[in-house]
Amino acid sequence: MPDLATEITEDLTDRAKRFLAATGEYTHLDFLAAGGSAAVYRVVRDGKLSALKVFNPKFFLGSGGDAERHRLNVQKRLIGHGCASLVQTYQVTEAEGTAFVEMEYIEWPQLNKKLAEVPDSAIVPLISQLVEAVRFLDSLNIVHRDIKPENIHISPDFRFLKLLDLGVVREFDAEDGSDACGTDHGNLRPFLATAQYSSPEYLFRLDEPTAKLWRGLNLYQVGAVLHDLIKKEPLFKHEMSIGNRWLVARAVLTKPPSFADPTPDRLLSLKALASRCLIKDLDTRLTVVGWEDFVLEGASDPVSALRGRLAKGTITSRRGASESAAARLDFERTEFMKRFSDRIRGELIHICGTQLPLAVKQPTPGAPMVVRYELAVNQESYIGCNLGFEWQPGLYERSVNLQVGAQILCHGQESIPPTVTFRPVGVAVIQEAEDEAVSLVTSELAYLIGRALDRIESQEDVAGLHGWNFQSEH
Amino acid sequence: MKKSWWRSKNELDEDQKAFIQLPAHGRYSLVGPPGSGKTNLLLLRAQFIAGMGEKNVLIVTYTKALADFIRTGIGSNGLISPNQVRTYHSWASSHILENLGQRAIPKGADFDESARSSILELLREANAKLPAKNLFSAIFVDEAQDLTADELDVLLSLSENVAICGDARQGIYERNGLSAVEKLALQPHTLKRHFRIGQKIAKVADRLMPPDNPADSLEATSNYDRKTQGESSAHMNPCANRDEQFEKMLEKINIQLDAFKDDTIGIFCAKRETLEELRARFNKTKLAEQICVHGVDDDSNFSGSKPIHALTIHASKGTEFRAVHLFAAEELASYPLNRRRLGFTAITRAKTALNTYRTGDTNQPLENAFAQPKHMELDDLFPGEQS
Repeated sequence: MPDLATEITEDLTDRAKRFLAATGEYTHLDFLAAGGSAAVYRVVRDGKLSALKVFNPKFFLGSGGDAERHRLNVQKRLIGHGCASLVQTYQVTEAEGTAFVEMEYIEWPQLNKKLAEVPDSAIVPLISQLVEAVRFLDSLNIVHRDIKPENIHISPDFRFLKLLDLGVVREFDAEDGSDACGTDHGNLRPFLATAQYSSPEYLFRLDEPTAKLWRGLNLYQVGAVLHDLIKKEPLFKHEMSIGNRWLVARAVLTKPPSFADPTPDRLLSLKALASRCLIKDLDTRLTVVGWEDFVLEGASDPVSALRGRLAKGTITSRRGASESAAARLDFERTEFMKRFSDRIRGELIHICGTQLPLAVKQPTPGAPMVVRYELAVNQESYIGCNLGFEWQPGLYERSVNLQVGAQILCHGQESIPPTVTFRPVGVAVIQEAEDEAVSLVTSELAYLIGRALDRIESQEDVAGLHGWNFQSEH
Repeated sequence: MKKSWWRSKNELDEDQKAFIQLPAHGRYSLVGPPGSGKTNLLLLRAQFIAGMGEKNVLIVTYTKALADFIRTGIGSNGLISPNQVRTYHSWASSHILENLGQRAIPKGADFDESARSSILELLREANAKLPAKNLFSAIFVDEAQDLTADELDVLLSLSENVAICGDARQGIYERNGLSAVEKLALQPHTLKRHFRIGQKIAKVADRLMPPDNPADSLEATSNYDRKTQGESSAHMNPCANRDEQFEKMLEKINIQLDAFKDDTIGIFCAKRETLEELRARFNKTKLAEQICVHGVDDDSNFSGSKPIHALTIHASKGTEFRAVHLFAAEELASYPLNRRRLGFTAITRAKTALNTYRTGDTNQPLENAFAQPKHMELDDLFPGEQS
């Protein structure tokens, strides 16, 4: 969603003036920023500073209005709360055909601007305060959903932070009724800004919004802030610098953050904690990390700390969770390859029969996944049909690029034939559309075999064809 | 049994055609996996040679059932007559009687180890008395691995033109007949592929007796056409008791009789007593007249029109069936019936459907051969524990 247009902002400013005039004297009303759904002002009245958020009235019209009102009601519950590390809400009011939220104005800088300066010694107290704020919201059944350095303000002495923004920038929220991925221009920045600190399952809305999902998201986002504090630079900085949303999305989905450090033993336990929070898989993440892991100083004696830590499983079993997922995937891929290559074999036998009887060569474990069908043409020569499986990473880990290549080979030839030239023919997905892929591969192989036979029949010296690679021309 | 024999030369691949057409004169061996058509090729070659005018050919098998099975393939071209197909035992007996005027073994005595060696001595004696060595235009021996090299030597010395075939993996009688290939300087001919055994069944056989080179596995070399023959299947059926085994088997057989019309079904078991049990059980069913129990029924053979044949595994050598049922596999639990080769022979008789029934344990390698690959995690070992 693009930021508000100027005329809307002007309209909001007028409404804000009327609202403030009606509720109390004000001396200053300075425009600060506008997001997709609201503008924020710095207000001074009775010598007291506050931030005033004015919503675009459009959001209170129609069916979307209920969702927006619901969110305001949530924020109302926070008025006068006692959590020091969470921005204070003074009032939430509907007036002037729209809604106003008056909050504590924080003059401290945003954490994202100060990352490089935060000393290591400040990290534990800061992250503890952040956890306190998140857990406080949690206790009220509120999910922030947008915890990131930009929404955290930090005191100049780095001793305190405050979590900000309860619903200012919600461009990525599905309830806003717009798709942040809709266009490439205009909303690129908010998309990036939000995607960067989203957990994979939240970014792609892979799971139903459940308590489990929110717990996983909170841990992930707190872990991401911890990452930034340790690394003193933002998560996926490189991808962000290129400004390509898909690169960022891919990094979120597949790239494990690195904690490589010139001083390897610096902040070891914090790095371990952050990397556990940033585990891609939701289930694994929730198994290996919890809020109790953030009790980072003083609170527990070393013995019970060690016990608590070991209770979550040893390092190997934590890794085991993702390893076992990998092993399962590996198993499914191998089974797919067996099943699929077997079906291709069935097709080839049916077509070629005793004219071109065949033998199958399965790949040895560890070798590239290529199944080879050797079709005996006559005593001297055979056609080697190769079916290669090239598995894709990440989101497409269950998809495989299928490629084929055929070669004429002669018995008793000393020379090692050139490597097979492969050509991609299609993609298959485990347990989906396998039939289509079978017919794709079969017809491609049939074409190549036909060409190979033409070549053999038209050549007197078949031995001269040894190692000949066949490529489809269509 | 009709479907076991080739009816068109298009059913042969190049290697097979080449073997049949080898020069009539010469001494050859044919080695290949089960289902590669060895028996069929041997018979075709015998007919090919007989057709060239060399009519006095002899085909020798070790088991009676295989001789009987080969006779069903002779057909009506008249090139070979049924009495030219003989078991080693039957040939040896008449050879000794004809040339030494005595019985090979006393009447009623068993054809056992010591009888076998005394027969060999008598055969040597008989051969020494022969006025002319070359009694036959050609001699063919099927499943040669079941004879000893010495036995093959005395037999094959009776013709200049010989061909033997066999498969080392199927040597259930633990003879060294195939070593004759080198000893008797037979020209080797090798078949690599087979067309009989469905891939799923081939995989079970490979797991029971893994080949040294994976590329030679029955699974890798199978050219079974599932599109015309049907998808193959291989199952182990654990049952509470023999009654349940029989019931399950009967249910499958009734379906198979319908699905595989004009084709044959084999029921194998380890022991002869079990064949008698099967006869008694089948007598209480509608299929009583449709089954031939070899070695139990009078005049049991493959030439009739009965679609179901029950045999011991030993007798099943060289035969093939569209569907095979291995009944009472618990009898294979211990030595000597637990040998892998015996299970291998039984399994590789099947083309499309293989079912094994057991009550209690059969031998571990056989059980393992039927197991399906499964993803396993450490947690699966401790099912009661929730992580």
